[in-house]
Amino acid sequence: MADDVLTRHVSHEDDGRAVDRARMRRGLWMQRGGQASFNALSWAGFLFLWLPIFILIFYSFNDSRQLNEFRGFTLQWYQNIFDNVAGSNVQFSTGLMMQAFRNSLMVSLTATIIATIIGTMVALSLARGRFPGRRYIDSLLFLPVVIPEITQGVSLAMFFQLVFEFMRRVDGVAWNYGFTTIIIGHVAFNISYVAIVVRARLANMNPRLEEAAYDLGANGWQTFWRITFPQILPGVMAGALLAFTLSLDDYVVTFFNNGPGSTTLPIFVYGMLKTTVTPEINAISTLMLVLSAVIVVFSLVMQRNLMGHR
Amino acid sequence: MSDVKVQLVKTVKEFPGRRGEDAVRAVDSINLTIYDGEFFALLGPSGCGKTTTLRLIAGFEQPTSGDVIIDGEQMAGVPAFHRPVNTVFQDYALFPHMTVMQNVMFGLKMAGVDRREAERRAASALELVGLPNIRKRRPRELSGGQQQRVALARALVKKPSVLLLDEPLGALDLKLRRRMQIELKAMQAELGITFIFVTHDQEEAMTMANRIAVMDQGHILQIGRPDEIYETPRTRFVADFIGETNFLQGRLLHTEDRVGVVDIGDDVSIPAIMPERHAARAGDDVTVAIRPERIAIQGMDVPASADDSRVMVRGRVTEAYYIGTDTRYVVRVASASLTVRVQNTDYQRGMGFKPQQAVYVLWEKHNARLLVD
Repeated sequence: MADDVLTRHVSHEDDGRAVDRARMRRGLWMQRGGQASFNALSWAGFLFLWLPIFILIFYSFNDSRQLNEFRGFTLQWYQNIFDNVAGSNVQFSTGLMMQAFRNSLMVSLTATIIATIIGTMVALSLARGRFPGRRYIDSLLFLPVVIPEITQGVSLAMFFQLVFEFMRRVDGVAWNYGFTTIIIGHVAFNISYVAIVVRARLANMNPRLEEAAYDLGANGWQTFWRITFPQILPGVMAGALLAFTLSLDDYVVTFFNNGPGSTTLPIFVYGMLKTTVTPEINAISTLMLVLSAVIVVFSLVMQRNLMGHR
Repeated sequence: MSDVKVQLVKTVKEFPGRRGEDAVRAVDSINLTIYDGEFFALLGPSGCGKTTTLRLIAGFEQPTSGDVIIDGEQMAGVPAFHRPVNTVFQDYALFPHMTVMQNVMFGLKMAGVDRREAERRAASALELVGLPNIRKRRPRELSGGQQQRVALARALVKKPSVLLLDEPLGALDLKLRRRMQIELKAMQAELGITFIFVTHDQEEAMTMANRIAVMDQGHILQIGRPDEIYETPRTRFVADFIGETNFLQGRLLHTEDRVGVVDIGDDVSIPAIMPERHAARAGDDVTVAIRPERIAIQGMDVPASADDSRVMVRGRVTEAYYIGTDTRYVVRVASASLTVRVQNTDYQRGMGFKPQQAVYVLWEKHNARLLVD
């Protein structure tokens, strides 16, 4: 009887194997087909993202003011930016552009530093702190990321208007929009981004590391600077970088909160675009792209070193 | 006895319950005294409160009530970084952004030891754990065993009064774990530092510890030397958790001189040693424990040899497994199934008892013990 059971079992297994083989062949075919279509999809996605940018770069070297013809390679437009001879375009002046660029850098750097410090502290207190309402603050953190930028811009402008009004009544000082309002606006939306990135990093950090430091005699301050901070530094750097890029190319919030003399590069470029798309704009955009790429590569290299890879 | 090193007095640790649930008592009013130079094990299943107990001693948790006393000093309000204890963590918690040497030197640096002296001591600590040549590497480049040794060196370099080890060998493979057990034991004997270690592995606790506290659900069920715990378990939980045990349910017929006679059904009654302060009275339902290796099997053809110190009952073999070092039988006795382990001191094919064979099972009287449920 036992033998009988065994044979039946074996033959059943044989059937199973045949079925399995067919299924495997089919599976393999589908897998290959699937692989190919996935490849195609990812290439399509890649093109969708980068084609306009490639075109922009391409035309920034095109020896023609018209977009519908290609007349060979030139560095004319790059030269124009710095030589202050941008043809008939009265709105363009190298001086103004460089001023706008300096303004942008100043605003972005200041806003990034402030937002990184505050954002990191927010992330730390949300990850480590035990206080009532922590969960709600945690969810509120995502709000600036999801609410439309125009809402942020308008609400900030209104808020500043109220503050100015108040100060005028109380102190008689006439405050106005300018760098301060732009920087506060940028800090306001950047805190969220920094905090979210740092918080993710903190969540991945082994809480035993801090306990181990306490255990070995380090107090809270020493533990933070010697253990916690080096551990979250890649997150802080990533957050700062994100904040810097968001701040550098911000248009909407800046538009609603800028004042005389505080024109940033995006506002300046948009002002030029109002008349026509000139090759100089392509050139400026390409330069900004290169700058961003340099920053990203730099930060990747730095993070790599910080993580202890060699 | 030697000096008291660590003392817990009616120590309670409660964690707030989640979302309106009741608070969880991870450690429920335990009393524990650990002496200087002991290798002490906190043993129990996961969630029994052993790690929380260790964390209370380390200072990572503050007791809800009760005391933690180290070297005669009250530890209430003393932060972890001011306690004379160091910890080896379960996942080692080596600082990933520092080299091995920097990891080991960290504690000395915090204590303000000057650099040259710190380097000298760290180097000798690494030598002690058998890792002199990996100072410049980072933790991620080390094997699990090496990381474990670095964690040990990092804690020992501080010359702690007490070393706490939280499942220190849990992440190592079996062979390495066995070797580390022996090394740790030797290291502890050499250094004379009190070790308190947490484990769920009863074999590990038995191998290394001088004394073991068996914990369950926040309570300490029994404290004793490994042989005491194994030979005279007080409760069913302890008997079951440490080693393998047969439990026989029965009714206590009468008691005499700390020996109870228990009716296990089918007109079979066996004597069992009653532990001190056992409250069972005649007529109560009780549990008797007998270790499988303390039971012998004898064929029916051999003359019966029961006497005052030996118990002998009839049974029938129901299963027999050959497992190399031993042969394992399951024998039906009255309404119970007894597992019996017979050591294979010799072997030939066809030896031993077969299923359905009628046999006698025998044991020395003191090997059957009444338990507190």
